[in-house]
Amino acid sequence: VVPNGVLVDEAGTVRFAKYGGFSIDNPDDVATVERFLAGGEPGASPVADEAYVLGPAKRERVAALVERGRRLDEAGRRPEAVAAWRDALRLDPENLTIRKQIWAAEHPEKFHPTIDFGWQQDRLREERAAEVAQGVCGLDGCPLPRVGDDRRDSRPSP
Amino acid sequence: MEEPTGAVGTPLPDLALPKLDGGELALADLRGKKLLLFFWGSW
Repeated sequence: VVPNGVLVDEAGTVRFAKYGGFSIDNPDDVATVERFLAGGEPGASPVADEAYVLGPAKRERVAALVERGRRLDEAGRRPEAVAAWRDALRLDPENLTIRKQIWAAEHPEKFHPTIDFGWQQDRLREERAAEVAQGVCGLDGCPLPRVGDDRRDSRPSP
Repeated sequence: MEEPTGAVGTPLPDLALPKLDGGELALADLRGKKLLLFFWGSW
């Protein structure tokens, strides 16, 4: 999750961390930095949302697929690179970095010369809706069986 | 229990980050200075 702001003292110790939502446009964040630079205590760090963490095996698999995609893309094999990134995204559907990598590869015009954030929001909504319909779970949960769904109807009667 | 990397009160890990103008910047080389690390994305 970005943007993050981390304050580190002269000895290399982390003294303040805000993971997600740190902004130089936020007066509270600016005041925190100014207190720290003036020699004071930066204040309590906000409690970060519970980290979204994949299990180690899945994390390694995702990292390997992302790296495979990167190498393929470097070799000029973009369709294969995107396929590898899509495999990674299926394992880690909340990973916006991977999702955006795919978007940037397939729709560079949405990223240069200006970044079309509205397009990204629409695209994310559409893709997640499609994934949930396919049963791909994410942070927003797994799709519930629909009324009349075969799986629901096939449960044994009590 | 071990503190996660980046937790308040823990030492910053030894990171070396690529610089925009080439080469790398090792955070260890900045010891003795107060740092604000700001991680963000432009996309």
